[in-house]
Order: sequence, then structure tokens, then C-alpha cells
Amino acid sequence: MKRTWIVYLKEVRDNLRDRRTLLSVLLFGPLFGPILFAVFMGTAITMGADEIEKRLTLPVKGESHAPELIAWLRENRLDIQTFEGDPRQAVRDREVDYVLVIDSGYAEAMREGRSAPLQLVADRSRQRLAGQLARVRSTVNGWDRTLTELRLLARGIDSQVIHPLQLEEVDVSTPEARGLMIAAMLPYFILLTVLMGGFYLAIDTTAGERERGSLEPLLSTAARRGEILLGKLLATATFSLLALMIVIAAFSLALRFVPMETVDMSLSLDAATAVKLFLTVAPFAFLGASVMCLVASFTKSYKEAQTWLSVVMVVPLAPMIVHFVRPFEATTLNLAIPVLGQHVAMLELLGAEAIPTLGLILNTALTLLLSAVVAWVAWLFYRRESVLG
Amino acid sequence: MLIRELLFAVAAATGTDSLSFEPCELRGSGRGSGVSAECFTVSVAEDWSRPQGNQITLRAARIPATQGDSERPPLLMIAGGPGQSALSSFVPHLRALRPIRQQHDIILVDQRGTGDSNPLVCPDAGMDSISVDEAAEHARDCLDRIGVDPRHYGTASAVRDLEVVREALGLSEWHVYGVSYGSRVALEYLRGSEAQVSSLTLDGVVPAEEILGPMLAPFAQRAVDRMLARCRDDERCRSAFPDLEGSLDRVMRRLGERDRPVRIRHPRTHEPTEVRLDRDRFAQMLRFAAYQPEMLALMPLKIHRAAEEGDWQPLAAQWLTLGESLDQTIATGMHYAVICSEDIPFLDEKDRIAQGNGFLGIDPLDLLIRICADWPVAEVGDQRWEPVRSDVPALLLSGELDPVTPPEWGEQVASQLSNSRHLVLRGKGHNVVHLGCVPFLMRDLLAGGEPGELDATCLDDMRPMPFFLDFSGPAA
Repeated sequence: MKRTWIVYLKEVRDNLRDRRTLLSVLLFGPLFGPILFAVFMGTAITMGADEIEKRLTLPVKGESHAPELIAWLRENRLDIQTFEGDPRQAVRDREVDYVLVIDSGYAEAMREGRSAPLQLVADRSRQRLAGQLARVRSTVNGWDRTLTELRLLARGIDSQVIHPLQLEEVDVSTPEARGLMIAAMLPYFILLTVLMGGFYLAIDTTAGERERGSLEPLLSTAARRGEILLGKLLATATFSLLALMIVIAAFSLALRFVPMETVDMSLSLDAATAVKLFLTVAPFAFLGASVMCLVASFTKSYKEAQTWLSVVMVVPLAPMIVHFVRPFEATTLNLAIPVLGQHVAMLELLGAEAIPTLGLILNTALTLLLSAVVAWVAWLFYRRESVLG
Repeated sequence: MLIRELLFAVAAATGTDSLSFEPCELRGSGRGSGVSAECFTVSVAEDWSRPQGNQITLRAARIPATQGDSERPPLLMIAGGPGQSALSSFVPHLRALRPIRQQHDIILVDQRGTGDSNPLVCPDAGMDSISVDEAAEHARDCLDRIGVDPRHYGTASAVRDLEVVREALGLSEWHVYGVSYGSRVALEYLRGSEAQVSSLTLDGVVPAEEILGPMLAPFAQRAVDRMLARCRDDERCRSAFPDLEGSLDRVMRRLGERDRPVRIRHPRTHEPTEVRLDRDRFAQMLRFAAYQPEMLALMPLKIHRAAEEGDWQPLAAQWLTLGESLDQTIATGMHYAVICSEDIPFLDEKDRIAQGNGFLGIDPLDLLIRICADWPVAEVGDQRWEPVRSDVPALLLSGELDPVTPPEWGEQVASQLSNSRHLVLRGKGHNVVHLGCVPFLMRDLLAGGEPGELDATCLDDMRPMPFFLDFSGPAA
């Protein structure tokens, strides 16, 4: 074991010496996700809130056909801008974002009690406009509703009769739970960062050393290959864990800058949750380290190892896709599955939900067991002389 | 006096430890979704001069700020009527009040005598038995039935109750909103507990020195005059109803000569139904239509149809719809408890003469006088009539066409509150807090904005609901 320790210290020291790699692994990597999240979510939310509050400018073609509708739109904080020309072409050319087109038959249809034709010309693929369009739509619908009620009332009909059912949706979700809807990518970021943390070390200590020719002298020392492998593996895991620690800290900081309240959501990471999060994901760091060491042990060159490992990087994506396609709750069973379990556990922790403890224990045990199995396979490779390339 | 105050303090303090919140769902009377809240109850002395005597339970609710743990003082919303339940009457407006709800909890208290707080509910007298004698008899029966001393159900007791609720919630201050009669409660509360009021918003303002009642007829008359003028000034309305004023006179005259049985299809059930239209009912209809400009928008058409084409069905249907909408909302016993102690006794002959011979005559007032003749009258302190003066930041809201609490009243109170702003919403009626950008302005006030600096240009585009020219709607 002592020799494992020596290898471990050497690898850690070597890696620490490489400032640039270190920066990218422990700083840029773990900070990138949280900053991205804070900036994008923050902007999106602020923009959304602004959109609800600010006055919108609505280009209208055929304004004169529906003066009462126009007055209603104005009353509801839409500024009307007269539009001339071809609305479809103008929207396609992005001269305007959308145009409300009032048909010349509007007034006549209205008088005859028919539904008066209106068009809202917009490019629905432009996500940025979704909020504005929703406001225009709901304001027009407001006039529609008012006229409906009054038309019925004028005819001596209670407007309740056209609403035979009154389905009331009672939303008991908490702001935290709603916050989770947009936090779905957090676990992915975290798992990816863990892998990235050990990535360079794993390649460098095996494939890299092999290329540099320093692996052979190391393997010919008195240390047994298993001990050397374990040292490298632990060093890799150490950096993964460091990266994990940093990314969690960065997220808990970044979340404070996202004004989730504005959209009736809440997402925060207090110290206790952060610690739980770390402990839950930590076993994954060992799994990641052994997988990476395994890949590095059978690949022939630094380059080849890199290629292989980029495939491994997709692993944390898998549970996210599964969860997206077929959302599920945390159960003891799915928690027990390595990687998927970490993903689910993170979501539950962020949502301040209770997690089945047995599931967590099983997850930790199974993840570590799987790590051991993978490490054992890596050791099999290490025992072969081909490990020297 | 001091001893009494001490006793109140003790009573208030004992309330605190029993406060517990239960999740509950608040629902309005009409359509629309409910809202999740935390309900709680507070126990208060029914008779505040005997704090250890009979206790009544007030039902109240807290709607948590959508932001979560808000540190800002909550907003207390006081309902009107008198007799409306705060827990249900504000629900339809909560969606529009989102900007406020983000940062502030909302506290709703069913005022004693309303909602679930020992409600003084009278069996439905029905809009159909509206003769003065009948109504008075109904009210007398109701007084027997409710079996409480209505003198404890006035504004002064309600204001004391609010202090108990505030202390039970452990709040040092809160923002206060009152609508219609609720603005009287809010002003009285401000008078007694100025230090506890962070800001004041009044919507449909009733000045302390005014009484509800005598002005009903003149204000309603004015709403009708204004409707006639608006139609005269509007080219399309004028050509659709060239002699609206004459039509109105003819309707009044014909209904005055004899009751008119009208057979219609019931607005909801479509069953053949007979409605007896008479002059009083028509006047009531017109009066209540004036509360909401949307209803008023239909009146020229309906009046025209009846007078010029003998088609009384639209008016008859409106009578039924109105009756249904009024029945749901008010605890009538509590309504009388307030009006009969605080308003009717202070009518003087002069007020009654000032009524003139408008379309309502003195009917609604006569009715109230007759009803109140049988009700015990609480003593109202002289202070009650003093204008409430304060420099608390205040926002006053009036609808230009409001026939019960007209803009002049808002103006009057604005002159008494030194740090206030009075906004009049063009073309709007009674109760306007949920319209246009008002919730945003109120949010800014609650966030500490100076009333004078609120940017109210967003209200410039307000207008009345245009008249229906035929059964399809306004012009286009």
C-alpha cells in the first residue's frame, strides 16, 4: 500500500505542476456550467418578466376596420403601429416581428354576428417572441371574451351556459419543485465536470507516460502493477472529487444570482444540500476514474485515448435523455443503478425532496462495486506486456 | 379606559399562541380558478366592551408571496359591501394582482358577520319581493333568526379585530387596501393604528365624513344622465338610438302605469319564465348596471327595444341575471348592521330633500329607512365623522363612472391624506384595482415608491366600454 501512496503522490504532484491543465480542469470546467446557467437563466427570466410589464408595440394592418378592438388593445398596454405592405413578407424578412391583420370584412362580419376574421402573422420558430405573441393573443382573446359575454347578455342568456364545465386545476407544486423544471440540466453539468476533472490525469498517467517512455521504468520498479494502477486511479479520482467540490460550490453561488422568484420558482443550494450532493455523487468519481484508467490502459496513444474518452463523456448524458423521454420519480430501484441513480438523487436533492435511504446506500455500494470491477479489468490489461505499447 | 385597553392587550396576546395555519383553497363565487392559501382562525370578543365575554371566531387566510420567503410587510385586503367575504370576493382579482403577490403575502380576513366569521346571513328575500313593506318584514325576520346583537357588527369592532389579527400574525406593520365600504374600514383602521400602516390603497373611496345611502339616488341619476350624454355625443350611438332620452322616459312611464308581465326564456335554464317588470325593478337594474360600464353598454339597446319596439324581453332577462349575481355575494344581516347604525340615523331631512325627482326617486333610501327602523342602533362616537388625516403613503383609485363612490369622494380623501395620489380611471366603474397597469402602480407603492412619483401615464388609454348598437356589439 505504501507504494500505491508513493505513486499517488507523484501523480498528484505532477498534475499540480501542470498549471494550464489544472486551470482548465479545476477552474474553467467546473465554473463554466454554473456561470452559463446563471447568465442564461438570469437573462431569460429577466427578459420574460420585462416582457409582461413593458408596453409592447403591435404593428397592425387594417387598423381602421376595427376601431373598438384597437381601443381595447391600447387600453391593455399595447401600442398600435400602423403597418402597410405585405405582412407575411415583412415578417419573413424580419422587418417586423409580427403583424395583426384586420380583414376588410371585419366590420361586416361583426355586424352580422358572425366571427370576425383576424390574422396574427408571426414566425413561430422565433423563440424570443413567444412571450410577446402570447400577450398579443391573450389581449385579443380578452376582447373576444368581453364581446361574447355581452352578446349573450344582450340576448338574455347567462354566459355560464356556454361553459358547461369548470375544470379547476389546483397546482400544489412548490416554487422549489417548479424551479427543478429548468434545473434538469444541472446533474448533467455536474457529472460531466466530475469526468473532466480526472480526464487529463487519466490519459496522461497511462497513455501519456507510455508515449513519453516513462511508463516502462515505472512498471519495472519493485511496485506491483496493481499498486501502481491503484495509485493512478486514486489520483484521477482525487481530481474528479476536487472538480465536483468546486462545481457544487460554484452552482450554489451562481443560483443566488438567478431571479427565479420572478417566475414563481425557487432553486437554491444551501450548505447542507451541497454536502449531501457531494456525498451522493462522490462514488461516481471513482467509477469515472476506473473507466478512464481502463480506457487509457488499452489505448495505444494519447490521441487514441482522447478519442475513446470523449465517447465516455457521453455517459452522463444518458440518464438525462432517459429522464427527458420518460420522466420518473426516485425509487429505491432506479436510485440503485449507478449513474442514473446519481442523476435522480441530484434532482431530488435540488427539489428538497426526501430520497429513499436504502436506494442511496445501494447506489453507493453498487457504484463502488462497479468501479472495482472496471478497475479489475484495467488491471488485467496492466498485467499484459502490451500495456507498454 | 386604561384598564379596558389593558384587557384588550391581554385578549390579543392570548390569541397569538393558538394561531395555526391550515392549507386551504380559496374560491370566488363565479368562474375562474381558486388559489391555494393558508387559512387560520382568530378568536375575538363579540362585544369589545366585555373582552372576556362571548367569543367569536374570525376566519382568515394568508396567500404566501409567490417569491417565497418575503421579508416585506404583507398586504391586508379589506372587502366591501358591507357584508362581502374577503376570502371569496378577492379571488377573481388575484391573477391581475400578480405583480403585488410576488413580493407580498396577502392577508384576507372575513370581517365579523361575513363569510365564515359568524356570518349574519338573511334568508334570500329575493329581488322579486321588493316592495318596501315586504323587504322590511324580511329584515325583521332575519334579525330574529340571526339571534345576535347586531350592534357588535359594525366598523369599530371590525377595526379592533384587525389589530388582533395583526398581532396574532406577529406583524409590526402591513400594507392596507380597502375597496368601497372596505375603504371606510381601512380609514378607521388608519385612524387608530397609523403606525401599523406601511401604505394605504383605497379603491372606490368612502370618506369618513360621508354616509352611504342618501347619495345613492343622486349619484345613480348622474350615472344615467352621463350615459344619455355619452350616447348623444357619439355619432353611431345617436344614429342607432336617436331619442334615447325619450325612450327612457317612455319606459319609465309605461312601467309606472302598470306592472308588465314578460314571458321569456330563463337566461340559464331556457325554461319559459314569467318576469314582472315594474318601475322600481327597472330603476334597480339601471342603478346596478352603472356599477359596471360593461353592463351599462347594453342599456341603451335594451331601453330602445322596449320603448320603440315593445320588446321587453332583454330587460326582463337582465332583471333575472342581476338578481342572481346580487344574491350570491352579501351577508345582508351584516349589511344592515353597519348601515343601520352608521349611516341611516345620520340622514337628515336636508339629505332627503336633495334627492329630487330623479329616476330612482327616494326608493332605495326609503327601503333602508324602513328596514333600519327595526334594527338596534349602535352608538357611534363623534370621532367617526372626523376626516382621517395622515401622511402615510396612499394611493386612491376611482372609476370615472362609478355611481356609488364617485371620483369626488376620492378627491375629498386625497385632500386629507398629505402624501397621497388620486387616480381616476376614465370610463371605468366601481372597483378598479385589477385594471390595466394599476397592479404595477400599487406594487411600486408597496415597494416604497412615493405616491406623487408613480408614473400613471399607462392609464391614459382607459375608456368606457362602447355601447352595443345592436345584438352584435359596438360598431366594429
